[in-house]
Amino acid sequence: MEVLLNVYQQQRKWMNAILGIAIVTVFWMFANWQVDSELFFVGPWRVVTYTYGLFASGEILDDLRISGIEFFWGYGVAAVAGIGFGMVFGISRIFREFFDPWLSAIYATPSVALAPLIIIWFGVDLTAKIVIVLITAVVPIVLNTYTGVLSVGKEFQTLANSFCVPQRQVLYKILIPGSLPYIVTGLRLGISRGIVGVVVGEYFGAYAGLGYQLFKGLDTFNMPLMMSCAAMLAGTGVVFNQVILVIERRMAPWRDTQLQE
Amino acid sequence: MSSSIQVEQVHKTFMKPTGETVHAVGGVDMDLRPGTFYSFVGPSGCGKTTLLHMIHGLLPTTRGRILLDGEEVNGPTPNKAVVFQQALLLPWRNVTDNIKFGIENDRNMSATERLEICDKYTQIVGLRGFESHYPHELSGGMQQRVNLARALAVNPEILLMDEPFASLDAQTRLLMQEELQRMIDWKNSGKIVVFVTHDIEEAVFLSDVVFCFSFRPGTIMKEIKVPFPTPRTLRVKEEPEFLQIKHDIWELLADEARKAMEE
Amino acid sequence: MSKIQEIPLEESQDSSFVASVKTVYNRHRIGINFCLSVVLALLTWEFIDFVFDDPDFFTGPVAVIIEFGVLIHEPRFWENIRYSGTELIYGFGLAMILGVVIGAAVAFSRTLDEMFSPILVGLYATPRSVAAPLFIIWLGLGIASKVGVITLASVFPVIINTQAGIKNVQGEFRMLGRAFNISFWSMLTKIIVPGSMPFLIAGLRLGYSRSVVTIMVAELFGAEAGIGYMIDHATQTFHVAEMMVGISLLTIMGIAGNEILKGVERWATPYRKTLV
Repeated sequence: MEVLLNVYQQQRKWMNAILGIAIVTVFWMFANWQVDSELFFVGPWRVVTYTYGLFASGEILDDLRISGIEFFWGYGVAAVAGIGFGMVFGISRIFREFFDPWLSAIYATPSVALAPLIIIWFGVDLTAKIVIVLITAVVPIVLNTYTGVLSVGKEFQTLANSFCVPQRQVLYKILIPGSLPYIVTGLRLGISRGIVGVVVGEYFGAYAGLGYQLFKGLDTFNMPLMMSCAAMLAGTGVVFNQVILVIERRMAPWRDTQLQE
Repeated sequence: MSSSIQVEQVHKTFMKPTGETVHAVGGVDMDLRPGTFYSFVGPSGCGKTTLLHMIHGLLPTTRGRILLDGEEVNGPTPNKAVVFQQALLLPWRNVTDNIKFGIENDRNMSATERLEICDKYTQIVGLRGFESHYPHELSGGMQQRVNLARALAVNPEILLMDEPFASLDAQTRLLMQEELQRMIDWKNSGKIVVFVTHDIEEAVFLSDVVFCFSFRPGTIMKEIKVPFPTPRTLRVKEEPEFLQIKHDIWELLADEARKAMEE
Repeated sequence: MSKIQEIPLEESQDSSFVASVKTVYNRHRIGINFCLSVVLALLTWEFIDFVFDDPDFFTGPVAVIIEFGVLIHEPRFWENIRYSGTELIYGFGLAMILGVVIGAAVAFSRTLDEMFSPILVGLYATPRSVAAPLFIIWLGLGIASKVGVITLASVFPVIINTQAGIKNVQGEFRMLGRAFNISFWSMLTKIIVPGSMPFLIAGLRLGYSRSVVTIMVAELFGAEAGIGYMIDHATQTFHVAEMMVGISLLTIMGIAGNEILKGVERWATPYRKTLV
């Protein structure tokens, strides 16, 4: 007993994390046992086996490919454009003052609500879906990059001036590394928005995709399919988030603490 | 390498965002000679830092002019370097790369030469072994050493120091004062050093010449020569003559400091 | 360097007309740029409409306002607003309460923190509004399912920020509280609550903007009424002006809530310098 307690004390962080997951899983299984109807609720094991079935039969692969393409292009363009525009807004005072009301409007507009307009303008094919992912994911990236550039103190500009560093070098020597933590936060926030963008985009006249399967599951009362799709979408979010965190740790070893967003 | 600086009837006026004007520097003349350590002492808001920035070229003068070797100063140049009050180290660069900051754009230098220079000044400021540390891993005193090394690496003819020890604890500060003389070595290299501080004792200890500033608009009330030979040890601070000079300066500045406090 | 606002006093002798315009512009440049920007936005918007000249494809601000004028006479329109407004108030309200309670729990209890923080952080990174169809099956097509999704979507920023806020104050001021030997209750009301307020409000603002987005997402999956439902319906019938009215309504909801929270922030933390 004492040995167990000791082990717990030494590894309590891990133990508690595992315990937490176990509690949630048991709760989930209990709920499933209580409801006992696959029309309403599905247990964790069934979600796993159903997802495995989807992969084994290969019927989900096409959906993954389509959603993947939408997300990859939409999010990729959002990252590049978002960082670019955020930088320009942060650096140029004229731009900043002039477009500030636009930024507030962008912040406040639920960008997902623009999805139907995008569909009307671009049709129902892949381009429209990519644009929807783009506009949903780009907002936090622009805003965080912008905040990041502003957060790099004026004194660093003075430092660069006093050591006669040319203005164009200030961009990559000071502004980009200085705002990196904020850019990373923006990129992380953009992931889950982009995934919501995938789902919403596929609501409008899609023939494949994880979001499409989600809607199909709703129409056909296929609870295992819905939960499996939701789990895959959620898992994608977690995985990408971790990937960005790892990249950040590689690229930015100077940071001693992680920022809370 | 020996430059001289003439400051001629320099005034500086600011406008606050409220529209109120502030006459920060009110007609300063000085003649700075190579191989000399100068200090500016005075109460808060006497324009000493502003004057330092004008000598550097970070700020324009409102009236009057500042000549460096007979040519008017209009912007920072590589022969002047500043040691800032806050260390202002780039958090994403390690010690070596922070020291390298000022010489990266010197095209006459090869990469190996740059590294040699960084190495040399890392050695001089006593940070051997910390080359690959990031600023957040260093103490305040060490950060200030990097700050100093960064300025020295440029090998400037004019070294401008803006209260570099203000944020250090008292003991570290004393040790840094003593070491600073060795680290800069202005006598042999013919540098002009300008050191801004609130601390009278620090000013007297380090300088060849102390300029005492009045409260706003800042003017020079007195120019005091400190006779002790350099390099000095901390024991100088106990000598009667040192204490006398310190006392005289305090007599001079006390009223000004009171004005600053009541502002 | 940052002690004094360095605006050199220069070139004020020139008294020509251009110079006086310049002075006025410089003094009010933020306000003037704001107005110019809004006017330019509206003109661009109207100009694009003029170029396309196809109301099934694009409508300008004038057409949107006219459409708005038509819609306010329809009871169905008000029903939609009421429906989404109710979802928002219940959903965000619930998220606020749950978020503060859970956030405080994980902030005060180390065990709870270690057990559930990994899960909370994991869920924070997931697109939670994709759970909308599940809620529709569980809670039906009515308001309840939307409230559930909105709560789920917006509760996490509130939890994470509440936790961060409390931990932040505790770290800084625990010793102060101990030094003055004050009770837990005083510690809570005098230090922890006011100290974590800025974090909490930042969390509420993040959560609120998610709530508004989620109205749209949740109603797409199936609803009886609502602004998202209205936009979806207008899309099926290619009624662009009505869609834009819906989008504008959601935007107004977003801006209004955000401004209210900013006001609360100024009122609750007057000692903080506001960010310009």
